[in-house]
Amino acid sequence: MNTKPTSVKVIYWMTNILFWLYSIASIFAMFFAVALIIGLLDKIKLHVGMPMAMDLKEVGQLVYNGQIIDVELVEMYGKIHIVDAPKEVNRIFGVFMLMALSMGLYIFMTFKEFITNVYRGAYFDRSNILLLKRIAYALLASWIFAVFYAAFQSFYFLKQLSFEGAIASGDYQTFNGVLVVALLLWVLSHIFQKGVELEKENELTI
Amino acid sequence: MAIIVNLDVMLAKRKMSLTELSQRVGITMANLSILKTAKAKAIRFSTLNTICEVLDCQPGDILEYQPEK
Repeated sequence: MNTKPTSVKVIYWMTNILFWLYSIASIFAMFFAVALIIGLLDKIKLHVGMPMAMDLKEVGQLVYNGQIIDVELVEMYGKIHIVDAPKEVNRIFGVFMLMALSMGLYIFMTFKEFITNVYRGAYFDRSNILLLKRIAYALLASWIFAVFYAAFQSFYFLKQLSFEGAIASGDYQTFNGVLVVALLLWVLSHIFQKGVELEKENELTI
Repeated sequence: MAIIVNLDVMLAKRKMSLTELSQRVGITMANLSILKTAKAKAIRFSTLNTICEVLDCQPGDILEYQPEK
C-alpha cells in the first residue's frame, strides 16, 4: 500500500522537474561562463547582478484608493548592463558565474538525493544525515562566496559607477537568509542523527 | 552489557524449541534471536509477561545481572 504523504510526493516531483530544468540551464550557462573566461566573447553587453544599493531620488505617484500620493524612490537594487564589456571584465564575471553555477548544481543534486531517499521511505537513514550536512556546508560555502562576491563587486566596480541621478550607496547585500537555512539544515542533520539512534533502539526493543 | 539473558537455559529446562516459543509467544524468530543472543537494547513488559507465562517462570529466571569486571 502506498502511504507516502501528498506533500512528499509533491516536493519529490517538483524537485525532479526543477532539477532537470536547472541542470539544462546550468550547462548552457556554464558553457557561456567558460566562453567568457577563455575570451571567446568580446565587447558583449554583460548583464550583471548588482548586490549593492543605489541611492537615487526619483519622484513619482502612487494611486491608492482613488487618491494620488506623491512618492520618492530613494534606494534600489538591480542589474546593470556593461556595454561592450572588455575581455578582462568578462573573465572575472565568468569565473564568479562558473563557481556560483557549480555550487548551485551541487546543492540541488544533493537535495534531490535527499528527497529521493525520503520519497522511498528512508527517513531516518544514515545517508540522509550526510546529505543534510553536505547541503548545510555547501550553503555555508555559498554564503561566504556570495558575501565575497558582493564585497568584491562593490569595492572594485560599483563604487566607480556614476549615473546622473543615482550614486552607489556602499551598502552591499549580505544574503543572511542563506546562512540561516545552512544553520537550520545543520541542526536538522543532528535531529536526524538522533532519529537514526532512536529508530535503531526501537528496532532492538523486543 | 551486565544483563545476561538466560532464555536458552529456560528453553532447555522446559524442553521447548525457539520455534515453539516463537509461535506460542507471537514474536518473530528474528526478534527472539536478538533477545537470546543479548543483542536487544530493551524488552517490553508485555513481551516479558508472555514469555514468563509460556515458560512458567519468573523474570529473574530469564534475566540475570552480572557486574562487569
